[in-house]
Amino acid sequence: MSGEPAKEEAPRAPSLPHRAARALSRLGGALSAVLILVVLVATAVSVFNRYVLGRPVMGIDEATGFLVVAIVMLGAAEALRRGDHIRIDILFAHAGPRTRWWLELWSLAAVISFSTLLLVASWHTVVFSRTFGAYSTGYLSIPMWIPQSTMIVGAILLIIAALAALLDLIAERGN
Amino acid sequence: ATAMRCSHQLPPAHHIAQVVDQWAAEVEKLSEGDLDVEVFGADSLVKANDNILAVAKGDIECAFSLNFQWGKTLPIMNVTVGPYTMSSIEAWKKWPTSEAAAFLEQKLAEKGVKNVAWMFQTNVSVFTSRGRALTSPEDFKGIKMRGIGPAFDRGLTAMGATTVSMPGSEVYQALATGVVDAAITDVAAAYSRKYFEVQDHMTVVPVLAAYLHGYVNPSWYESLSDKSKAALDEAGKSAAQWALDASIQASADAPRQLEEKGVTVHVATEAENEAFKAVMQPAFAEGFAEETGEDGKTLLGLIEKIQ
Amino acid sequence: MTILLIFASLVGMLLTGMPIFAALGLSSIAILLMFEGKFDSIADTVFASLNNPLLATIPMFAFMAHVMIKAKVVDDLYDMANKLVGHVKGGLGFATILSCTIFSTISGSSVATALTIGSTAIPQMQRFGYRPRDTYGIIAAGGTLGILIPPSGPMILYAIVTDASIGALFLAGMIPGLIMAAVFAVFSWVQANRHGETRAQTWPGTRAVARALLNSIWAVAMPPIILGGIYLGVFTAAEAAAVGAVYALAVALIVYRNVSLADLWDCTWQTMRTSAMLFMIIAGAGLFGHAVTIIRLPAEIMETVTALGLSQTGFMLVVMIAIFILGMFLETIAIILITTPIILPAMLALDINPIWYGVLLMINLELALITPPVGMNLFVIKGITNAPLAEIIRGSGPYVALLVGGLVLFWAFPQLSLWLPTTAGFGR
Ligand code: NA
Ligand code: NA
Repeated sequence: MSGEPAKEEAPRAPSLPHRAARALSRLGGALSAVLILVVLVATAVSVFNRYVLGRPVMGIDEATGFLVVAIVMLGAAEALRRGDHIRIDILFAHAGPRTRWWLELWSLAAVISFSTLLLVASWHTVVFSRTFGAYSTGYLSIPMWIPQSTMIVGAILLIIAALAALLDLIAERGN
Repeated sequence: ATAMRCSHQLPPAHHIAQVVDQWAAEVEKLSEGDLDVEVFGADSLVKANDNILAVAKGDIECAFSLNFQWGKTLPIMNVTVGPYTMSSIEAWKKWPTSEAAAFLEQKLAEKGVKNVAWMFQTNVSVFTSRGRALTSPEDFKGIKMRGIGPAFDRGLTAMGATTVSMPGSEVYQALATGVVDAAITDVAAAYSRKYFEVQDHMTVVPVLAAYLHGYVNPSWYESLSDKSKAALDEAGKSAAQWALDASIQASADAPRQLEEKGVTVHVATEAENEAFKAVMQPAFAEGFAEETGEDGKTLLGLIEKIQ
Repeated sequence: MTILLIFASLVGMLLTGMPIFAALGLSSIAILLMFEGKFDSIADTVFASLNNPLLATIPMFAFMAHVMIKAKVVDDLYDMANKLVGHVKGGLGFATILSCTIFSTISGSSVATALTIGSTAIPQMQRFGYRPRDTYGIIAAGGTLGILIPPSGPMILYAIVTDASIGALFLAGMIPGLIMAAVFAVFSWVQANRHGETRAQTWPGTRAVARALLNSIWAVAMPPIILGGIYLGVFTAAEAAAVGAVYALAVALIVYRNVSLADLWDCTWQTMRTSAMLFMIIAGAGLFGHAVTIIRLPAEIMETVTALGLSQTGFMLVVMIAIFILGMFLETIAIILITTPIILPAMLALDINPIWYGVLLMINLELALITPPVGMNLFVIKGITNAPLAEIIRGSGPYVALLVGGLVLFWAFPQLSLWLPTTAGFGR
């Protein structure tokens, strides 16, 4: 069910917007991967601190929660580009090439619509949190708009990745 | 009828959750059906920490939060968490109509929510531990303890404890296996969450007061009819009294129930409470003053009047 | 009526093949627009569903498994199992299930288990005369153990939704997991012997077996570290994941010394892709949960249950059948995240132990992995072997029956699930 193989294996020379989109997705993916390592190290360090030093690190829990949001938001576009997002592809499996093309178009349109709505809503949330002056409740007590704004980044990355795939799809039809 | 969705975090069986339900019915009754109140408890609609923003932003109309949850967003709400600041029931009886409450309502309005109900939840906490009781500040030296939030935990740290934050679902086993040595919790919760299975000493202390308060979206409130507004006002006043009664009842039964389960329950003496207060109060006050400035001082002065 | 409409449109959107997260997200937005006239809450809901430190447990366990695979620790595992029982006629299937069982203590995912063990074991079994169809069944079923034997990604998600303890759930899955593994192993042995062509391998000699056992020690030491640590309360489940990942890194870098920094980055990269995919579904399911809650669906279901006077048994029967049917068409994560919040209030009202229910849910989801038309493990085997799907489905058929038997067994005897967590001090 893993969908299309990696787009970068397409024989055609990729267009400039395609390459730009790819670079952005990868950058987001790399940041996301680094954050996974950060969470891993932080959790391991907190175990060490508790048992060996007898002094737990404060705020690890809270930071981890925020980092999970960032990990997802930064990584989602790369996962989309690589066709990782799970889908039910019974229809795909039984469809001819023409129907498949339309289904693929429909599916990308769905991702773009969802991401755009998420972008609009995230923007409102971030702006509201800033003016309201909302802080996190745990030991970190950081302004909420900071972790929330990773959603804006994530939505934009997803839109770009989906648009690039859409352009490829349309070019494919041309051939 | 106008829909009024109210989110809160308490489990359905909690004594204050039942007061919320009672309040909801009262609002419907007094507004003669103009307000259709739907209560979503146990974090089912909006999570505990997100209630404030959800109401202020207008995603839902109404929510209930514990005072801790305001954190740095509106630090003055933490005033009752101060060690031994609002310990007496007499003070709580006067609270809903007090200048102190009016002052906080004003602050909430400036922040962007309209307060509609004060529900006193507890002023009886327990320090739970295993092997020995925690009866003096010295007993806290070097122990790992599950705290309840940054503001209050300053007092625990001042006594030499190391506070740990962890999700509620992990606390029981952490106590069972010694990942943490001790905890502070509401006395009724110590019973309902079965801490007695994993802790054998509990010291009953009126160290902090916690309340759940209900608030609504201000522009939604403004759009209501006068009848609905009056209904909210009236029901809020009644609910404050119900909550007080329910909390006194819940706190009264718990120590005996805990003893029946084999816990050595010790009610802190006046001297012991003074000793706790002497160490914890200054640590809390320092942070509170820093976060709240003049407003904090004014509020503490108003609270002094109802003691 | 509204309920049916909502679910029909969700399933319809899912069937068009759009990513699950988009289908969940868009149908939630549709519900919100229809009933609320605004969708501004979606960002807050997405944030709330993801802002959870316990979720970080999943990528940490995934990273651990990737490192163990990359360092070929898992190859030693299969080699050990094979040398130990492969010389018995029909023993290779046994060895495969044994490998799946041990790998399940490393991996929190059934797909990863089927994929990892399957790529080595299917060709090996076929070389020694196993009927291809039977080898598909063994891997399909053995792979499902990945989510029942801890660590388990789906268990973590279920625990988060119900506020149950992850540690308690992990321990609860242990005994049922081992029982199912034993049942699968015995069945594969009986089946292999019924089809006479299966040949035994030659006995490699005591020394070779001893060496293989010694080599596999690093993989076999995993369960005591993770589960022992949780059982004894040395660490929480999230910490166990971090400790497990550090352990895997140490084994790879110090003992095996066969992974480069580039390999480790690759492991991180794989982990990132899987997590992003999985967590987007969590975000989508969070939205769906919020949308159906605000229109009071869970409350209505609870009212219906109360009005019908359903007993605990009756309710469980209805729920289990519904999940089995959903499991034929939907993917496991989506099932947990969509159904659990909806039935939770009724579950609590009927006093159903959430840990016990969690184990039954996992077994039902194991079924979902191998029932057609949508079964992830079936697709994995299709990916490895390129065999006709019908053949794979036929091979898994008997295991579907065995799992249903298991479901009934663990339903009838809750102690099989609850004894271990209770003795470890998870009293709630
Ligand atoms: Na597993
Ligand atoms: Na299925």
